[in-house]
Amino acid sequence: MSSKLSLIINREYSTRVRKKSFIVMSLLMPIGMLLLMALPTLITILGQTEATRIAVVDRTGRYAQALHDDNSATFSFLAPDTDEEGLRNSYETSGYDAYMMILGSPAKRDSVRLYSSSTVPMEAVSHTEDALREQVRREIMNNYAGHTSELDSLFACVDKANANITTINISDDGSESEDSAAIGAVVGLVTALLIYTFVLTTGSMVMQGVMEEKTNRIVEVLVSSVKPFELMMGKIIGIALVALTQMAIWIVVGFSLVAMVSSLMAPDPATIQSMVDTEMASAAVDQGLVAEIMHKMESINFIQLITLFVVYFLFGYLLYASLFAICGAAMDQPQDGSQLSIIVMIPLFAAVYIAIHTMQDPASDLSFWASLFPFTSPIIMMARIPFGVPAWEIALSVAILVGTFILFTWIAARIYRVGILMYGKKVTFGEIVKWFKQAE
Amino acid sequence: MAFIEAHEVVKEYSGHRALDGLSLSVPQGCIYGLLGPNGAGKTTFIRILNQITRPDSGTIQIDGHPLTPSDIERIGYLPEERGLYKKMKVGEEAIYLARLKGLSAMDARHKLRYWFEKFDIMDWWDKKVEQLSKGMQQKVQFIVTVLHEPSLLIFDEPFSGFDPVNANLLKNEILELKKRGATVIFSTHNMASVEEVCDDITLINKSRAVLSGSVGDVRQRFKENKFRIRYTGDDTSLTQPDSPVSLADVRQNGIYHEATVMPSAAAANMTPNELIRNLLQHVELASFEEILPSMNDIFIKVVGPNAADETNK
Repeated sequence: MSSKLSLIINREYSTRVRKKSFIVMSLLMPIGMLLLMALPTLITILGQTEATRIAVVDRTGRYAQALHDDNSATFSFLAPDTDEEGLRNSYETSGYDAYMMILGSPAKRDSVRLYSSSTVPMEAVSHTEDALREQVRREIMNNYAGHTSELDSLFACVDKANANITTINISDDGSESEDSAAIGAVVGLVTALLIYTFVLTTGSMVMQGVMEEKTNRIVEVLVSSVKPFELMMGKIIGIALVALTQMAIWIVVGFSLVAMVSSLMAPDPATIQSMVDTEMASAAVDQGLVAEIMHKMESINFIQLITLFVVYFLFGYLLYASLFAICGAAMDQPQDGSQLSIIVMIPLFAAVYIAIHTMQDPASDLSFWASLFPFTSPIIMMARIPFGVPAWEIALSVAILVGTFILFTWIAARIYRVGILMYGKKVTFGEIVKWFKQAE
Repeated sequence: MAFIEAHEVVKEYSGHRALDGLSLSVPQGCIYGLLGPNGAGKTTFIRILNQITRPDSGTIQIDGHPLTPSDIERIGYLPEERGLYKKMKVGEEAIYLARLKGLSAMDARHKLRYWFEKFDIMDWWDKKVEQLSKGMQQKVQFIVTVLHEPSLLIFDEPFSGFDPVNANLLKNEILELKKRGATVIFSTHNMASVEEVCDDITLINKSRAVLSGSVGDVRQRFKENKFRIRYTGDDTSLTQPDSPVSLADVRQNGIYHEATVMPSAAAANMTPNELIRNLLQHVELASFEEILPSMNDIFIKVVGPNAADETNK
């Protein structure tokens, strides 16, 4: 890399990172996102719902006794040998909202399954989980009865005791799906929207920067020191680094906030046994909730998600940045050229609508083609990924994106070097084509 | 020895010939005026020197060799349209621009301190550019142009926007740079400043060099056999239509008459001595001085009054 290019990158980066708006955005955004994510939870907790009626089939005969009604859930105990197939067809007509199969110790994953055609409120699930956890603890302590010398390891075991409930949605056609699909759709849409926001804001930064230099006339001084291509790429790379820095800060701040919040919500292990008063019980509800979301999130491959996010953001940004650079170079006054930039933004806007469709139907033809088309693929592919996308599709889509980015950077460089020194001309599409041909 | 030697330079922009075989030669260590109406091709030539664009054909030699990318570090360029990053701090911005011209950060800081102390503007260092007045920004821009001690300086309309005090300061700095051995190319419409500071000029019109040479030579070449005289005595016979000399702008100044005198159209080849002899037959001559045309007159004469109007657009 030439030293001049790195000088330009450095200036573009450091002037932006030192801005107050950057620092504020970096810190406030994760807090805002967290509040946004917590909002539905708070609504469920605060909102008074009717108790969920759950039919319980306890094949083990050991855990149902621990379940007791409260205002979130009421339990009816069916015979341990009740036929599940029959229950699935009849539980609703029998007046139940859901039925639960206890197949083994709740400490083992997937041994307790809660089936419902509608979403079971988090409170009901948490209440059930707490009750089962208590029973698991009691069992552990019974096993240790008399071995007081091993009290320390007993307490360790009790602390770790856990109860898992797998909630399963039964759709109208009878097919089952774990709730994590819904989480996947949300994760997909959120990452897609993040890419959209990042590409749009950083792309506009490139346009603003190019325009600033042109309308400022400093560009004439700059291009007498460096090549226009270095100037353009320095700006594009510098702003990319700004965005990546912002992402890194968000990830770090976001994860520390989540860690902080969950450690605040998790009850202190020493007080678990004395956890009788209602205040503590409601704290336990929150813990159950966080644990459940975390558990469902585990089914998503975060390493893959974050890697692809960075790849799609980077190349999507580079592609759009070159287009925004053309817009900036074509502007004479700040108020000019807005039409041009709108043309550039149209595929971005369209991609958001397609992403909402993709969330509902990730396998449709539209989703497939839009995740290959380079101007929408960064957004649409992100929306598809949590649903599982074959590796070859991802590879093809990235390859097309990279190829298009190289092509458009070349085109933009030619237009840019002529455009930045053109003043007082009404910029039309034909004029831009002329600039492209004019560059040697 | 010529520092810049341009030979038959042609540059075409989609159908329009901005330069049509321009040749010129800028001697080492001189201040060289690049004159001409707007659109004549001055900016195109300057951009070619700065390697912002390349000529379609023709050659340009600098200091004896063809232009190479590393030459831009030896050039300082003050464009007509001044511009700085408004949000950056003055010192930081000047160092950044100097480093783009190849100076090290330490070198740039050191040299910048020299100039800031010289202009007594040390307290601007940490101010943002937008906090400075327009004249102050121009000063900063001038410093940025010369900071890396270029051997070729290109000033495009350097005096526009400066108040008389600062314009004079700038003029002296430019003369100082010349004294230190720099070659200066000076593009302007301000003909008075050309007479003051330029050694040589080239007048470009319609993409071609139409007039070149030292300022003194050019003015000699365009002289019209006009003289300024002071005299006493009766001048009535000199104002007759058949007089071999003609008087113009006659006015009384104390005991003297003052007038502009030139041979009449019928005797256009009259030498100054013959002219004086003619005058002496009628009046008592107190002084006799040749009138050289101003660069402004020459400009208008060569370019044509219509083009001069365009210049003022």
